[in-house]
Amino acid sequence: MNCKEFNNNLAELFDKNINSVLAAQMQEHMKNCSDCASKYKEAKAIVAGMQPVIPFTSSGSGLKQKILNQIKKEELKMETVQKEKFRLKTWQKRAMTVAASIVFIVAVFMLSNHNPLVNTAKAAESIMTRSITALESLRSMFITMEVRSDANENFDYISTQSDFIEYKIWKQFTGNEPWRMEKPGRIVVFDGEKQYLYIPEASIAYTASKNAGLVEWMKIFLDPKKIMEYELEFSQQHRAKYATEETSDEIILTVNADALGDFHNNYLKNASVPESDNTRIYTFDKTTSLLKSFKLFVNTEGKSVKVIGIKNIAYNIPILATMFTIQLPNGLAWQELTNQEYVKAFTGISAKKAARKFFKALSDEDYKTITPVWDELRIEDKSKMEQLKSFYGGLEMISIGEPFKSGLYPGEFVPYKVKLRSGKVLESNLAIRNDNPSKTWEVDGGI
Amino acid sequence: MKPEREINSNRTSEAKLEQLIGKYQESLIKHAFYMLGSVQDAEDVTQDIFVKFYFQPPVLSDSSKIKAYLYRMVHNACIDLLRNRKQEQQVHINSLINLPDEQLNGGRKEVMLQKEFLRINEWMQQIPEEQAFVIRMRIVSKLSFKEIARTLELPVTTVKSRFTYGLNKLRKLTGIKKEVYDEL
Repeated sequence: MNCKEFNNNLAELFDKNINSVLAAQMQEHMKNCSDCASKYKEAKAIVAGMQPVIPFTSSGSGLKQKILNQIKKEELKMETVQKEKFRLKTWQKRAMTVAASIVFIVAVFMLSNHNPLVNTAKAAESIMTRSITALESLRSMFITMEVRSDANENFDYISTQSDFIEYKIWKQFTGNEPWRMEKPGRIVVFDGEKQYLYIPEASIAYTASKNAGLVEWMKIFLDPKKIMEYELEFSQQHRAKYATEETSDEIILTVNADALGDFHNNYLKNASVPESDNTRIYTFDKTTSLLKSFKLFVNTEGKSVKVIGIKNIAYNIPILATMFTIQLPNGLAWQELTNQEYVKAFTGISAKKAARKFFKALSDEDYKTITPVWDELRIEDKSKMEQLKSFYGGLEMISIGEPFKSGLYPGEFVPYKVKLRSGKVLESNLAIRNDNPSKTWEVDGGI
Repeated sequence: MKPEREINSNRTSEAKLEQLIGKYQESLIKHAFYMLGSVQDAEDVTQDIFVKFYFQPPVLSDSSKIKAYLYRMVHNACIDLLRNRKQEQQVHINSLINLPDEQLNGGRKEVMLQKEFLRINEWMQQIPEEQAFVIRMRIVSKLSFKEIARTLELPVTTVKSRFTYGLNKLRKLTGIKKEVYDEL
């Protein structure tokens, strides 16, 4: 071995797994070459000098648990995003028919001077006319209300099991009538041109058309005048019981109504206000005929539970124009909600077959087939998409049940049971729908 | 192909993840610490990497590749973090070297470790980054050249060359310092 070869192989003497033959040759060379021996000695001293002398120990405690907790949090976040998209799409598609649902909540404002209980369309017409006139002169409105809902859910989600959280609504009745609705975890703004939905936790930022149903049924609170305009139509189409009570300065109206929708299967029963049996109590200012407060009770299993309560309504207050815009954080851009295109493989078949095809594709990791019908695979965030593929890809189908319809949902629910690669078993109902012009089944949620 | 799929499938399970955490957690945190100089940051980076690993398991054929993969992930995350750190934070870290123990943040053990980091980091700052990476991995993290090659996705010969070049440079610098001290 010469000096050049020694230098080229110097690193070998510092490897974890030393090549003993080569090391012996190098040791032999050093015996005859003081320069190389000195070079090795210096290098060895430097390596020794760079060795940490203090044994490293991290705080270590609980890191494993922290990792597992973070995983659970991420999984929950993923589930929230899936659920959100289901609800969002549901209501986007339902926007055209939402007006029909709106009428259900409207109150009948009947006025009878001293009779505590009346039920006549004529009396209702009288109070409605007065209220409409009063509401026509509004310039702005700010409502604070408490709703039994969850931060991760859509605006119309109510649950008797949830705690009250605060909703806020700002509405300008002048110009192009912009508005803003907030609940913890999400904001929807209408700037006069488009609606904007922002969910910070899930990094979702959608723009939708002027008439999109981004706040769903809660839209009625944006225009109290329409509540009364729809009332007459509602009272003619649906059965409800009305009662009024009058005090020195207030008129109190109580309405009892049954759930709207198909409830041969109760899966969606009580999932939203229109889909529940409920009681509404409105309080009006006797002098101005303006709404002062509102309470909504859902009647379930023999109990009546308050789920909505308007705490305060301020009329004709100044609202800053900045309330009708949303500033997104850097790196997040608005995405346009789009309609379902025609996909031959998911057209002209039953809901059950469509569900089976969907899970088969996930099992085979054939994302090409399902990308057009599952918008989760069309998101721009590649890393989230990869997470999704990794989560569901290669799953094993255990069973696909018989589809059913429930509530106001225009599609069908297909019961399924699958086993993920991780070993976790998922059992739920896949929500699929084909109420689009191309009659293509698309996956709406439930996964 | 099939065995790889099976391994990949196992990696997504919590049991497998817990096993990997138990096996590599401490050495990965140590590796990150000697790049970042903060135990807290090192633990955060390691935590994020294990979470990412759980959700996006790579298709790898054997356990030695898993180790290299985890080191690579941690190493790259540390580089990103270092690049994102503000200039003043860098200055702050460098200025710590001259501070007495009582003025350094953290407990006694953390202070000792920070000083150790600063001492070793002073060596590393004398040589190009890619040589420092290899030397740190070999001397501090105790990875073999083969493991370093896998981690950095480089040929073993390149890794050894970088180690030798770095060491020679440090040897020469030390020699210059020694001459200056001798003259004084």
